[in-house]
Amino acid sequence: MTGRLILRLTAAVLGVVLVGAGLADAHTKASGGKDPREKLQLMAPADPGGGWDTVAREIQSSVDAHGLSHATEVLNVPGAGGTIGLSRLANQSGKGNKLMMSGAVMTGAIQTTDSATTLDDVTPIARLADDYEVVVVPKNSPFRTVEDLMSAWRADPRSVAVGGGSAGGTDHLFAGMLLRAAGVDTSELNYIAYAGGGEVVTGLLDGGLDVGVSSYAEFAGQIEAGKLRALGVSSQSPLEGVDIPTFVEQGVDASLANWRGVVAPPGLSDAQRAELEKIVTTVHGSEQWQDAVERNGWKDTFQTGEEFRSFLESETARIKRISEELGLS
Amino acid sequence: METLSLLLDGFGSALTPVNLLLCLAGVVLGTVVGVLPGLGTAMAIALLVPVTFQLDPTGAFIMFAGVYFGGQFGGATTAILLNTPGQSSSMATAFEGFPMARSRRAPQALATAVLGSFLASIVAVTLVVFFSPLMVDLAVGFGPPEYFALTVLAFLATSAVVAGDVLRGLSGLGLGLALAMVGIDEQSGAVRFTLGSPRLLDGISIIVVTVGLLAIGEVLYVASRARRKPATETVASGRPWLSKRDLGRSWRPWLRGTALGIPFGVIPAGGAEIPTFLSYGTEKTLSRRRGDDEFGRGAIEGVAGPEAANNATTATSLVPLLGLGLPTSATAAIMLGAFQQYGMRPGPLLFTQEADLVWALLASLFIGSLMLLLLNLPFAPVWAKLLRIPRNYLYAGIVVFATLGVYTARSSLFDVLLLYVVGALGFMLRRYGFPVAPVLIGVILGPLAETSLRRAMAMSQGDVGVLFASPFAVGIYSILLVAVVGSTVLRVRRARAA
Amino acid sequence: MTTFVQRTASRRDGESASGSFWTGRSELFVGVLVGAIGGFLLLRTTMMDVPSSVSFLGPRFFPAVIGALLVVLGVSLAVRVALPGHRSTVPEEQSEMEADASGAGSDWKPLLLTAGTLVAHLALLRTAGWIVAGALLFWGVSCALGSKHKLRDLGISVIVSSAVQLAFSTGLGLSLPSGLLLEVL
Repeated sequence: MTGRLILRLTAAVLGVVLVGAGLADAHTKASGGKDPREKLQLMAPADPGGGWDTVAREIQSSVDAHGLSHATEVLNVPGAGGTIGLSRLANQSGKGNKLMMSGAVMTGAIQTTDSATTLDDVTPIARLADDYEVVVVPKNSPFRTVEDLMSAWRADPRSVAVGGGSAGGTDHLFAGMLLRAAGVDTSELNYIAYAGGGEVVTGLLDGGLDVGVSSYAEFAGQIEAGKLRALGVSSQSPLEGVDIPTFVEQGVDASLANWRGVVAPPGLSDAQRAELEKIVTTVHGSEQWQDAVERNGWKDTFQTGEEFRSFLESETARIKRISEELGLS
Repeated sequence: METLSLLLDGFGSALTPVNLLLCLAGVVLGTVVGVLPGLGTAMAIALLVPVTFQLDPTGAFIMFAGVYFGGQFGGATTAILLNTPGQSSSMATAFEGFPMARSRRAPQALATAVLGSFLASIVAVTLVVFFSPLMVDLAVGFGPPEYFALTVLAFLATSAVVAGDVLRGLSGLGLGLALAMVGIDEQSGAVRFTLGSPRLLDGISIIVVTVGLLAIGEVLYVASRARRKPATETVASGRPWLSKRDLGRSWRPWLRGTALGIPFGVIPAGGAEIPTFLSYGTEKTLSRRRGDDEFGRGAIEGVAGPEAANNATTATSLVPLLGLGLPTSATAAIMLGAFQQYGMRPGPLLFTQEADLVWALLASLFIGSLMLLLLNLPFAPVWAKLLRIPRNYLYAGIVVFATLGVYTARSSLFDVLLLYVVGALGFMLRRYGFPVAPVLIGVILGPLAETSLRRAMAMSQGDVGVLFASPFAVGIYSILLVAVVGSTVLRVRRARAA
Repeated sequence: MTTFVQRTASRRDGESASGSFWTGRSELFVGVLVGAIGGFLLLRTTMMDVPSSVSFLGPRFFPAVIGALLVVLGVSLAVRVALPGHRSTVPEEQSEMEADASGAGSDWKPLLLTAGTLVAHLALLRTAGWIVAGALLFWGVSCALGSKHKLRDLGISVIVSSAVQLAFSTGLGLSLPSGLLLEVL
């Protein structure tokens, strides 16, 4: 009898302790206010493992290593090319302890999804790094040069099956830019969307696709093995360590940077914005971050303040125009 | 023979105490996280990636391999015990596994799942070790017309051939396909059936549909029967081990499941769902032919087959991942990301450039499966004790569990709302005897069917003939024709006899 | 809704050939629903905005085919149920379920209690936080299914939801809503 009583008492005490600890935990999670040095929330508007998630987690590890904030957490809010996360951020006006990953993919998605929230509704903080689009063909393709591809497009644009990422993404937009550079109506593009660069590779290898567009990292293995041939890269100037000419060098007026950066909620004071810029600048200077740039094969294009804002403005306008031409919005 | 010595070297580098510990940690973590619907192995590996930078790549990938297999098993455990598959690949396991658990055969269901998984993984990994270059060629030969044929086969097999009533089966399939149409169309960027809600732009997640139909639907159904069968009683677990008879009934489904699962891991957009459903269908058809009507009430074949198929697919899906840099599942996608983080490029050159790592990874797959077997076989009866919890707590736990999993996957309240709405649909289907499998197959394969057909049309510039151009596709359509004609004849005969 | 409730409750009686046309025919509802979903797909497909650059089969093809299929299936289901001499044909998977369900259709009280709990949970999750809403969810469902000790179960529920909060946020590093009250404190 006493044995059971003791058992019950222990259970009750344990229960109370658990509830207390749970409440305390919920309380710490709830507080934290607006100070990024107390608690910094990094929102990745994508699934775990995707590009934005990688950036967020790289930032997190460098913030932690340098003790820039007491607590950092990565929050995944995937959906609709990042626009779900964007609209959530836009609703958290004045909260100076939140950063969201953003980039060229989001500017495209804002167009395709007809999102009510745009990048004008949040505070730009910094551009971190870029990667670029590569256009490839199978090794025995009749397209030896960019000019071959351009003339095929001029002859019969629908006969060239182009594969890349989802409709409205950077791959699609860049294919549209190329078509326009060839002087062909952009809406004639025969574009086939895939879930990622890996799937595009199989489409190219089995002969279904004539041309593939994706980021360099996705094709690098196959290019090295000689199964795919690169026609050009979308950067303005040649890339270090990548033996592919740019389109601009080859006389085709088309370039696109798949940039990644961070933005913060709207309604921040100048001091709040400066604080976040300071944290991101320290992250950028850290060894972890430079290491990450190297590992992921990105190009370091760090920008903050006015410089980043004006880049964002011109890039948004350019992407808007091309996606309208593609009939996406 | 060179392969063998490379593999032995791989074992050499994998079998250090530290790596064994990492593998164990991976298996345990994978099982724990795999149990939660929605989180699954993908999330576990994503959480681990930053942590593993402290480790050398070999150690990190050995840990990932552990998580990979552990997650598969965690998913099956909850499918059997709670009718809540931890991931979509264990859906088919729930169909027979849960009824088995309810009729006091949970330990047997778990044991046949563990053993089948082990057997399938070992066979599949062995094939990967010796034949992966050949398998890569097979993967590349698979284009949109072939995928389309395959999805048509899966649709008709689950809805018309396997389901007891064709009209109900096809309606279920149609509902599933309709659910799959919601969201942005990947091919054109057109917005479809979202009713203006941005929350629906990405479509209705498979996890929401699976957990809603199976778990929430089940709880509502139990509630609607609560007065007749008081839910407070416990389901006692019966005898703990597999009997000889169980083993005798399991080994053929294991082998058939393995054989079905292996090719599906290799083809790029396969995923583990098609083979698990095909295996479930095969076992069901075979048992019907034997005059056995245990299916629906907990037939061990219905657990053994799909689980073996699931794990065979998991193992062979490493072929496109390593050989082409092509991830066939969310988990594989994150592993691909991890490879890139370590500066490695999966692709044709990986096997030569990073030979040490690749062989250590393959060796650790063997070690991981063995570890999973040793860990879980003794635990099957222990897990099954979970069912001793009074049923009202158990079902309350299922609801809490399902809600949590769905909420935390995207921190979205809207997803929880969808979960409950789909649960109501699941209840209705259950109430009027509509099979759930065709709905799930429709949701999962609907997008693949649509994109394959549209890609095929775009590539051939609108020529329908391309669908019948390859011998593989023609082969599948012929099988389909025979099956449909055969089952119609059988039905008509049976109807006349009755 | 109430008419549907009554129809469903008396479904089985239809087999004894008593009652009105509606007895034993609540499955008509399913046919109507299937058909209605098909109609919705067709209607929305015609209203869809399609990007101008679409080639060959566009985004409207599949939904149109599925919509048409669902309309045909819905009508067939409804006709089959409405035909004279209809007996509810339950596929074999359901035989055991139906065996223990001999008697009337559904028990509405526990079912509505469970559904109500789900709705309440949804309404409370963001405002009251996980610990409260999660406990309510556990407690509500276990009561609906026939709990014998309601007060003790309330204690268990709070412990379960607190344990989950701890496991998720400290163990896995995933955040659950903490509620407005704690945010103010």
